[in-house]
Amino acid sequence: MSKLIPLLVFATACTSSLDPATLIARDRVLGAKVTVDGDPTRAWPAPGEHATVTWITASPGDQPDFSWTLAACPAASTSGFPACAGPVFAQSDATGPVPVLDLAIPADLDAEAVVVLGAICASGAPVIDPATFAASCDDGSLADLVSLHVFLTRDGATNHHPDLANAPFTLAGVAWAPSTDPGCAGLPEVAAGAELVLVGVEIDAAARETFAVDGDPVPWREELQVSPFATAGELTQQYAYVEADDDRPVSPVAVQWTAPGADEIPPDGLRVDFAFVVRDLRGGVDAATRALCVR
Amino acid sequence: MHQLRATLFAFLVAAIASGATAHADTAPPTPPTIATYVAAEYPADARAAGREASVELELTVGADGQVLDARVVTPVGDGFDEAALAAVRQFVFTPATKDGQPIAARIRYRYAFTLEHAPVAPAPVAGRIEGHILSRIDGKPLAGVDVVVTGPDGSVSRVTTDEAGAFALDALPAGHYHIAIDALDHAAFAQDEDVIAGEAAAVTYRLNPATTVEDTGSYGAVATIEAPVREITRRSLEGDELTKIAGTRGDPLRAVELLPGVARPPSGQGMLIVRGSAPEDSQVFLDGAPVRQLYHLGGLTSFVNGALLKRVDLFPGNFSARYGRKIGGVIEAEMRDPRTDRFHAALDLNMVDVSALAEGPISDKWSFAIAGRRSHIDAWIGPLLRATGAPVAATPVYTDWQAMAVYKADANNRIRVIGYGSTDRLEVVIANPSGAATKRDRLGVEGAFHRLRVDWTRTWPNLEQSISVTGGSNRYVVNASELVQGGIDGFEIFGRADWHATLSKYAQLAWGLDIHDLEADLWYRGPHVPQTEGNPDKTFTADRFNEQIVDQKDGVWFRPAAYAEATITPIAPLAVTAGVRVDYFSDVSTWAVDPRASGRYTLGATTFKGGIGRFSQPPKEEESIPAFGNPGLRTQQATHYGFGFDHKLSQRVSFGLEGYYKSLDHMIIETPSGAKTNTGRGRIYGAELAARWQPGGRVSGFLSYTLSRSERNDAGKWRLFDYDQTHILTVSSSIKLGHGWELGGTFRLVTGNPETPVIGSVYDADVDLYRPLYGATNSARTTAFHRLDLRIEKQFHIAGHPCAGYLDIQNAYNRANRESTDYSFDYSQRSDTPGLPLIPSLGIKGEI
Repeated sequence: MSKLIPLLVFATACTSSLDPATLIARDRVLGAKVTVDGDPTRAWPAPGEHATVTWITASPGDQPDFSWTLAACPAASTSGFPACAGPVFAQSDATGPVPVLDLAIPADLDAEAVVVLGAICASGAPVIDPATFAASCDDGSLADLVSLHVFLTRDGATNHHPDLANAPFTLAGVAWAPSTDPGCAGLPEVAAGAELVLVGVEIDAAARETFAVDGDPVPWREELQVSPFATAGELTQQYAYVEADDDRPVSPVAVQWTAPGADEIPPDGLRVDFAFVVRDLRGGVDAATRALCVR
Repeated sequence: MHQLRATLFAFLVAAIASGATAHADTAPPTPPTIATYVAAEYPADARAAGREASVELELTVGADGQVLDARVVTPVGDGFDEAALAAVRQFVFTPATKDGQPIAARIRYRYAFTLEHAPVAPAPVAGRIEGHILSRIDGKPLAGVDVVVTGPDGSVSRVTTDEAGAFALDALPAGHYHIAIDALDHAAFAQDEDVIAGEAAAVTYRLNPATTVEDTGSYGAVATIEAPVREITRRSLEGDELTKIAGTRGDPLRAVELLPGVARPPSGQGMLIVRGSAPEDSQVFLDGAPVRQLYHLGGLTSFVNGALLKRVDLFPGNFSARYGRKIGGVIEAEMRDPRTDRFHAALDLNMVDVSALAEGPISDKWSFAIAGRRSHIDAWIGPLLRATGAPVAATPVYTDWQAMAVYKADANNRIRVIGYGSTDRLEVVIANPSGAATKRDRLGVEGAFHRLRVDWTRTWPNLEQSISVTGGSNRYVVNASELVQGGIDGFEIFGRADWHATLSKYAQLAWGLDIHDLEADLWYRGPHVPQTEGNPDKTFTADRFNEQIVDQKDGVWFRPAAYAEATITPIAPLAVTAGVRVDYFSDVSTWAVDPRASGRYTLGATTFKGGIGRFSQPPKEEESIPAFGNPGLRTQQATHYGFGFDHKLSQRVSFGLEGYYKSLDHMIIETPSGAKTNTGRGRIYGAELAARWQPGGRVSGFLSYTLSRSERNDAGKWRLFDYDQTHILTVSSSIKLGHGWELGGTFRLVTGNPETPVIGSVYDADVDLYRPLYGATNSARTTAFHRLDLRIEKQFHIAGHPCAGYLDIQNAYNRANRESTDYSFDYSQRSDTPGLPLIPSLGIKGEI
């Protein structure tokens, strides 16, 4: 029996009391999207162009005003832990509903990418300890220290964002439309405690570009990573993928969600907001939201 | 019914010191040895009264071998003194000699009168010990030597060798026996043997000569020494300890983890951490051949059936020049020969696996054993996971096998053909309801090795030779989501030849060769694999834009070595061993010359010991290949220092204390740029206390305590080693309750492992992942670990066949030990990762 150690450890992890990554239990950042002025479908700006980095956020309740301090510099590498290879050329310290950073890419920038570093607070102003690089908010709340690589168009090679906003979502196999109304009115309903409800989206093959890679005569195709989030209940997966070798014209992506129990549901129902962020893992990003009501 | 038994023993006298003056350029003096033995008549009244006695006598043996005089040193009365005198006066000796000439000598002799007791109840099953006692010098049989056999219930039996040096004891209940031999002119000797029901355990003991005989005019005296040893510290597990220590699930190699100097591995990780060394710095050998994978599925159980092992030795440091290519410690597991009395078959079924063993004679010179095991977790883990709602499917399966054919041409010739192997397969599939491609949702690990070994052992009067060749295939494949793939597939061969010569009573010489050759394909595709030790960041994120691609075809790692080791015993209590080992490593084109020395000095029941040695270890196979490692790497090196003592309180109870220091140089580390270099250093120091109550009686067990500190320096600053444990206390004991019941317990108290605190995190928007920010490496610790394991076993018979049921309970009081710290996705919350809860394991085994 004791030989089941790895599985028991796994089971222990499954029953952890820690908040899962898919649960929107606090105001937080879910990603960042780069849009190039004049061509919002393009994810890679070119040196000399102007772009905007918009941070995708989610909140368990009403959306707060965020405070942020963000800076951009030439990237020392294109992945992993962020590091600057040159001086900061763009900076933003502001407060507003959506954290943004305007990027005027220097025309003479000699780097494969730009790295954006900073901190974002849902309340209070961000403070970064220069010694430990730890971030906090000046009212004592938790800050999100954030980083992003912005790839630059070189030699005509560029990248476009995948399209999730216009993709068809389904809830338990039924079409699931976006809603902007507050509360439960008009939302699809799910019974309290319902288990493993299928939440899916179909992604068109056109959303995935092909691209050349040095040393490989065969073009590579993008893979897509979908990150699902919910303000209540439990999602079974942190990520879902459309693999690079998936050659279907439409690729279904689905995760399972278990609704909160009846003891967590108010008499007039509980609105649960979902957020989905898709990445092509080359800088292309898009996001979508949906909502349902648990009764 | 009675028998007379006699015991001959030698006294340590004050002449030891003067014995050191014996000159090597003259023929060494020899003591008298019995040529004709005469049994005494048991006094009738004493026999009727059930009395036993030992009579101590002083004999004067003339140059012609006749007993010139005999007197009782300590009278015991009841007619014993007279009977003994009457017998010994009829003895005829081979006279003592000096410079090759016979001389008269005076010796002491003990004549033991022992009644043979009728057993209270006939043992349901019994075995036999039979064998010969020979002189190691000339191989001649030793007659009249008293053999004292202590049984598992503490009963003592004595038998005297006949003129052919032979002895035998019949009707011994199955169990673990301690055999002690005191011969007049030879070193004291002790050995443990297992008696198995229905089997005759055939043994041959070769006794070392006593150090010297002092010529005091016409009279002499004898001093004895222990048999020389080549390691300053050897900790052995044998007999019941191999399979009955609580908390080891009957696995002998897991029991090694409880010995002094061995750290506690984290739950679920099969690794041996010996004296603060990294697991890969220590080596397990099976009959002298290195074992590449010790445990199934990352620590479930070791690959070899414990019932086939005779003994497991741990050399925590300063090991013999016979072993090399490692800078940590050595574990040597020795397989036993098959039983030869008749055919035996055994079955062991527990909640995790089932194993079977068959053995027996093929002819009077051939015997065989075959064993196999398969896990059956896969049969029920799926339903269990589904019942718990876990979104995974797992299919862990392991098997292992051993087969052996033994040919014993005569007492001095043995040839064995042994095959063994192991397979592991673990596939975890995370449920993906989308029906989309699921290659990211699969984790697969597969490993297999199979070996064929041929060894030949030949013994001459003063020379022992062992030659073996072990070869076979290896295949290990890791396939994580098809985005991280790697493996090694090849064939390796290991050859070894060892010789051990007794040059004289002052000198022994051991020398040998061993060759390790691996030819393999090695491949890897995935992200850069960072250094693991000292690196708290264990995240391993697939990144196809920055992946490494390594494809090493037909790689060759050729590593020959030679060693020589001499043990000098200039005076009785002192033995000094000096040796050197020379290795060549073709993969890094490097030679290594490692000198080693150790010494022991025995003062009464206390033996002082010390040693110093140099040890070299090549890079791991993947560390030196281009594109993945660095072909310019050198060997890692260590210097071991050790000093301590052992003290024997009684035949079965002993304790010892040893301090050690290890300096590690040219350690392979990874620089911040990802390059591998030999710029790391390390230092390890500590002390080990070991107390032991040998098996053989009703109670047995051991206590071990280790105080240690293990540090590494890979960035110009000293830090703790990942598995540094300051205090390691283990108490393990077993008691036979009677009526076939046996209860055992093991308690451990260990300092928590070092860990690196997380002081913040950075959200990486590229991949939707929080990356931790770490504090100083290994600057914190988990809480102390303590646990009690219990084991109870009941032996019984079904239709005359021995069976046993056992219950092994790990963590009997359900201590929630903290193994590590678990963090939430953004590192803002933390919780303890608990170790194993109370886990009972029930099993049954039987034999026909």
